[in-house]
Amino acid sequence: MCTICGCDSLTKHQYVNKRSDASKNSLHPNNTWQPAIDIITTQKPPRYLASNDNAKDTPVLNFGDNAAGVTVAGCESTRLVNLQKSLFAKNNTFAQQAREHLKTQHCLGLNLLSSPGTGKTTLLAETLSLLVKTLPCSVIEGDQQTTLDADRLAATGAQTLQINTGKGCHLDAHMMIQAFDRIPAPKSGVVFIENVGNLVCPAGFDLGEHHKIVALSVTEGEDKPLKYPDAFYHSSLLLITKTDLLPYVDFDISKCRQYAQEINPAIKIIEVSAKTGQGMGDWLNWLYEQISEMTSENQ
Amino acid sequence: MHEASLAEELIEIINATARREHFKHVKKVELEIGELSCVDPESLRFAIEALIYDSVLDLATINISQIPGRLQCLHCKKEFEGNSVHTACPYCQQFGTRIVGGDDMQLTELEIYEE
Repeated sequence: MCTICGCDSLTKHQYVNKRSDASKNSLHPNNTWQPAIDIITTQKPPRYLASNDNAKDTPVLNFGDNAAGVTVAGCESTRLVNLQKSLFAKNNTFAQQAREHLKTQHCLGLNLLSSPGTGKTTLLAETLSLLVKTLPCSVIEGDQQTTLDADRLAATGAQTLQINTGKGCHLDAHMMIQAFDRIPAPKSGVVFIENVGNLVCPAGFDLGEHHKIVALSVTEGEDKPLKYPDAFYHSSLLLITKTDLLPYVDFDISKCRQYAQEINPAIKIIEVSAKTGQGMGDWLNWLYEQISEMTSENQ
Repeated sequence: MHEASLAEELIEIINATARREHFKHVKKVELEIGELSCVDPESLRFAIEALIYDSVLDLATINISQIPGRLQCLHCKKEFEGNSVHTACPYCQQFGTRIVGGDDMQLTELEIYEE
């Protein structure tokens, strides 16, 4: 509080533009635009303790350098701590560790996102049954509860680990590190990370994977890319699943493709049916392309 | 509700700062949320308020300012502001953008009560 007039304002009532200060910060090199909502400006708070800015160097105890030029015992005394800390920084550090682990293992990391019920697990089970004999595969399976999916995928012969997030709505990179401690990514193989069924939260968290893959079934709406753009923006591949059901539903596949490409022109789109096997070849070809791309990048 | 885990991360950073800077109560927390960060400001506020009881934040006001998303058109390469990756370029009217800013969430500043 200002000790002159009692307002919630600044030392000597001089307003400082917070953004212009922040733009000088090296952590904000590109932040030259203004915030949408202008926020409360910074203030140098009054003190009731002597200012100790130079306490160790000068033989002076200064009680008069606050706004009112005088100190009153009992008055509130505050100060500012400048931090500029990203709340994603910790996740990104763990994600980097996970990325390095994948690199040393020469293992492709794929992070699968979708809503609940898109058929990720069925597609994975089908994929694993085609791959396990020729390629080392493992699965990290994220769900709020139960080991149903991991049990189902373990039956294919792939090494699986279930992560139960409890109330959590997504996997984070710290969970990945702990999962890799338990089952390391298979050497020169693929680790499939099946994220918690949710198109919102998982999109915001880097797990150190090579690619995010978003799956969308034809029993959902073709407008899902518009409703949940972030998941589609961050993904390299869109799998349109359950295409065997197309004759029975009003799903406009060309509209779905158009929406996804408006959000991410580079996104690759493959239509698959784990039930009939349609499109499985294209999906596996895409997967092998990513492996060879990763191998040439690592060399 | 991934805002809950971000709120926990926020409180962890503030607790670590409290140990380093020797304070027991925070008066004000300044947060900046990018519009393209996948974080909803009101959900975050709700999550923080649920966690601050009996912590260094028990007296704190939480100020959240939103930083506009910054996008670059993939076709004409011009930059513009937008709060969704599904925004048509205002210069060439085409879809397809790359995020160049406003996708982070930062704890910028704390105002603390001195002991």
